[in-house]
Amino acid sequence: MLGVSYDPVADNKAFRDKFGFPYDLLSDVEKSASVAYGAAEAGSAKTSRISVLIGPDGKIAASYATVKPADHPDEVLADLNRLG
Amino acid sequence: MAVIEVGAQAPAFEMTNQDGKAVTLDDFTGRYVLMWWYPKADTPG
Repeated sequence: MLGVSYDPVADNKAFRDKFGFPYDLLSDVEKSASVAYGAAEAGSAKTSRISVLIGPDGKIAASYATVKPADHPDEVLADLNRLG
Repeated sequence: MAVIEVGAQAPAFEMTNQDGKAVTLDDFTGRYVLMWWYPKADTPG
């Protein structure tokens, strides 16, 4: 699991330390990955709250254009079970 | 803006993590990886 935003490294470190997230938070300073995955418009200052599940074969296994944080873990776990 | 299509090849990336280390898509080959985007650290909504 990876969190991604345009935030600088120092902000991500503080965010991760505050909540104790056990996974990496990545800074997309070049904005290219976020645009490539459809998480942001080219030229936009912020990324949208989306998520993408990538399969072991390197292909997109599921995508979530609208993420409700409270429901999202269950939604992803259900997809992982479905995908086997 | 459209989120990437299911079945598409995941675009390669290299980004810097919170400790200043580079992380690439290749680091996760053979495993599922969930990437979640957020607008800004530590903000609601």
